Amino acid sequence: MSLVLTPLYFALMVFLWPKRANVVALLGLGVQFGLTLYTAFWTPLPRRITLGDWGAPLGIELWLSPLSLLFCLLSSAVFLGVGLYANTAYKNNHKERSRFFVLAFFLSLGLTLLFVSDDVFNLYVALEIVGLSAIGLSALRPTKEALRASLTYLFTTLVGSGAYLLGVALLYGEYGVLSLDLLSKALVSSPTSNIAFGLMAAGLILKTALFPLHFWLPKAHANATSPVSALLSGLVIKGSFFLLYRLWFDGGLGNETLGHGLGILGGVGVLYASVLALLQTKLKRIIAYSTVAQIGYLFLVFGLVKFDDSLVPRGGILLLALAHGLAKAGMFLAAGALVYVHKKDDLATLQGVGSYAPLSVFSFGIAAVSIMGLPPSLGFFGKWLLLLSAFEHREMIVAGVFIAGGVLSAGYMFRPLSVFFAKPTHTLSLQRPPLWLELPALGLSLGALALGFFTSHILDYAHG
Amino acid sequence: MVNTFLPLVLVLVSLGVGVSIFFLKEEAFKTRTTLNLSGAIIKLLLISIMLWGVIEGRHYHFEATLVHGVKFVLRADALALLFGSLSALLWLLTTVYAIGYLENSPNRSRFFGFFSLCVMSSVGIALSGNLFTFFIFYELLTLTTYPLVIHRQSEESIKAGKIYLLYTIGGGVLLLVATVWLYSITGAMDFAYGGYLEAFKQTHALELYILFFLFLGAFGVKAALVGLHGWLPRAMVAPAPVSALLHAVAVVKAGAFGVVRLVYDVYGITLSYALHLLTPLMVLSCATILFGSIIALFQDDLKKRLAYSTVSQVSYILLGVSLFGPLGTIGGLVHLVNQGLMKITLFFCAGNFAETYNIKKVSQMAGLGAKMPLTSFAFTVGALGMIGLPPLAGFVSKWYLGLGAIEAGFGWVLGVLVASSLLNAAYFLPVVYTLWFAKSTESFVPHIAFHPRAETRLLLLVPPLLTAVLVVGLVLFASHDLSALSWVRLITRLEYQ
Repeated sequence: MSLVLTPLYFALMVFLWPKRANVVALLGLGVQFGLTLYTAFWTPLPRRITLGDWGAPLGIELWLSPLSLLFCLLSSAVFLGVGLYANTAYKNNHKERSRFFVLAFFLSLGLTLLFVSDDVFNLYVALEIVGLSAIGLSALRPTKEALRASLTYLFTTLVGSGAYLLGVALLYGEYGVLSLDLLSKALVSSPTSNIAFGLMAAGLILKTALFPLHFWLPKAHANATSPVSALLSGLVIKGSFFLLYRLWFDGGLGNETLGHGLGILGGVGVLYASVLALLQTKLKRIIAYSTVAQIGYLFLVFGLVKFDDSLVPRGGILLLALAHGLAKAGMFLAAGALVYVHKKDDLATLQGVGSYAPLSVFSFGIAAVSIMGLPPSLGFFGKWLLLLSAFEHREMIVAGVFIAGGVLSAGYMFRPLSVFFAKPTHTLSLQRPPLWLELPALGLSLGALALGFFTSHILDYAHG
Repeated sequence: MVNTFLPLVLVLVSLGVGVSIFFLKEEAFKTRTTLNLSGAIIKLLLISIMLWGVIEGRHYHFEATLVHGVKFVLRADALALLFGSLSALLWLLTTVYAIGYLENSPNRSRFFGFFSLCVMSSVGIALSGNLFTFFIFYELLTLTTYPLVIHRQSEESIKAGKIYLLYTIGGGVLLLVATVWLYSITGAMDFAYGGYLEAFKQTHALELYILFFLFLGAFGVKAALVGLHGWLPRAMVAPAPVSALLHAVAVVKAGAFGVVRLVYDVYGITLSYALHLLTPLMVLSCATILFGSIIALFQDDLKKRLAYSTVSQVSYILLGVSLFGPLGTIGGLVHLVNQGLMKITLFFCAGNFAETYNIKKVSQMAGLGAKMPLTSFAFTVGALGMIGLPPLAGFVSKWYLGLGAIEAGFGWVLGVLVASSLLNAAYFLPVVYTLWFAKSTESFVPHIAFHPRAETRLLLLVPPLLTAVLVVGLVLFASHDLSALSWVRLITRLEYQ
């Protein structure tokens, strides 16, 4: 329970005490990370927590499973990294800093709640907290583009959660239960439940930005300030994806036709977004389109599970989601450090940044290794599992999408890298970005790389 | 007795050195040099211990399950040690050379950091016990050599880097597809003498046939088979030690070594023969041998000439692999070592000419022999060895390849060997002639500072001399138990048992 309440407490503290936001916020993020670690490894899992001793169907229940704890760990680690970065980046603007941290804590609260809740309505509440705080964050620095993007984001997310809520209402009307556990037992295939799940899935897909509902993402992610982009790309879309994943596998709501459709959209999305990423001229746009492409991979699993109901493809997706969370957050922070010096993120102006910000370029490179799915990163093992599953079932089209996506990602990742490595075009003497802007990116990226060595531990833990 | 510890340590040593060098300041010359050299020496010692251990019948095997039965396996079998000891030895020399070469140039920490990571990948490739592990290190090699290729950061090198990536990533993707595909048929299996696919011959013949060519394409990129060689001459913009390393031990050899593993330890030589896979390989390698030699004739740029010579020479290894019969195998495998030694000598020398007097073209080399007699001597030994003059290393390779061709019943391959040797002579002898006998037309002004009585920096001079001595020594001591030839004989016995 304290897992959920910690961010709330610290959000309040930052709000009441904005001048000391740096100390309070970092303390809070540290405590959150420590608590999550403790809960994940030193308490019995899985376990059910009933609030105020009121069990389902009347009361609220939390479900702490290894899977949800893994995502909580991802989230608190990314928050810690981003928090450290933001603390330095907003050093001279107390107002912006405290606003950032209040919203970040609410986001953290929403995500944690999303990962541990066990009934569809509670999940809706969590989804709304996540959505609203994310919009607040994306409008943190009120430039014209950012405001316009966050307005689009606001409408999308409202439509998305509206559709989800409608689905929840239909299910409740049909079965009279909200808990996922009870729901999966009561569920029978009927038009109502199909429509309900269709609505819920559609809402979540919109929020996760699966092709062709991704229109809002590149704008929102590329125009936000860098730490916010890291949170949006690394974590927020994982929230709605996680929810869909749980409804599908734990709620028993998945069905083959829909799975097939999602798989196709995912595959097309991978190719489409990768090509667009190749065409972008701004660094953060490239990274944002790469996120859309990576989301495509996540959805391919729904197409694959039809053929392979073993844990192999699910394990692959889990690894890819974790890898993307860490690597993409790291990459946005690294890009942030580069942009911090230059104030601009056009590739042309960034030529030669490697000469004065080698550490950030290095972090960017390491994160890219994971995004491209090259060994020994976590992303590689995710891809390996999915490829293996595709080959075992002779799903050559799925395999082909993976291969083509991998090649394209190498293209759009090495393009900025070779720009960074080139000789600087201008003789302007630029200073290195502050060390504390560079280190968090390195930590997160290295995490995505090094966790590759612990793949089997992670999978054993998650499916334990 | 099984030792799990040593193969892992061997890989970790270079990793540790590489990572710590990244954190060093540019000026920390002494610490960096100490780290570099001690890493290389420790590596050589460990390899020697394992060589001795394998002779005594010990096994070195490390494995860890990574995910769903897919194992990360490092082990030192005879073939692994052949490649491993070659890279450990040449790495020590290249490190010494690179320290001399990069004196006072910028970004040395970055250079040596990636240099060490590159050693790690190369040794990892040598020790890989299955295709999965091989793939990991093969990709790591691509990633760690890229920053070395573009080290100079000029427009030309960035462009070369792009082309290098285009080829190698393409190769990497092919390898991934082929590996996953094969795993989906066989499940997790380790390299084994004589191959492990015999059991699938009946059920998956067609797939095995297709897969062989996928693998060949994947390894062919790095081994610079004709048509896939485009990156190699362009990558010549890299600093000399990098070129030396790419050509002699790391990238090109990794591709050739991959083919060796594929034919002998995955498919098995008997199965490869039965599936008629060897003949296409033979035709491809003969075409590459002739192609590389002919193009090399027309290069005035010394490094480019050497690059095309590599294209040609590496295919000797593949030719040996494609000849069914122990003699061909011996010829191919022994050339893995010989080509490495000869080519690294030539590249060290080319680097010395360029670094000392800024001479990069063959046409400018007239009279250089008098100015730099020792370097020119080493170059001459390397060049004559490449041509295949007895008693130099290249002769041994060609001798066994010729015997192997006759044994396998492909008399025309002899014709290819003879033609290629003539071509080798045609593009190497003019260089040697120009060095020693042509009249000097220009005055040589040194570009770098060195001791007035020496011909160049000592650190640049010693490595090529040592490798030149080895080019002769390998043949003179060929009958010794630890010579490359005896070792290759041992491997061949194991493969054909």
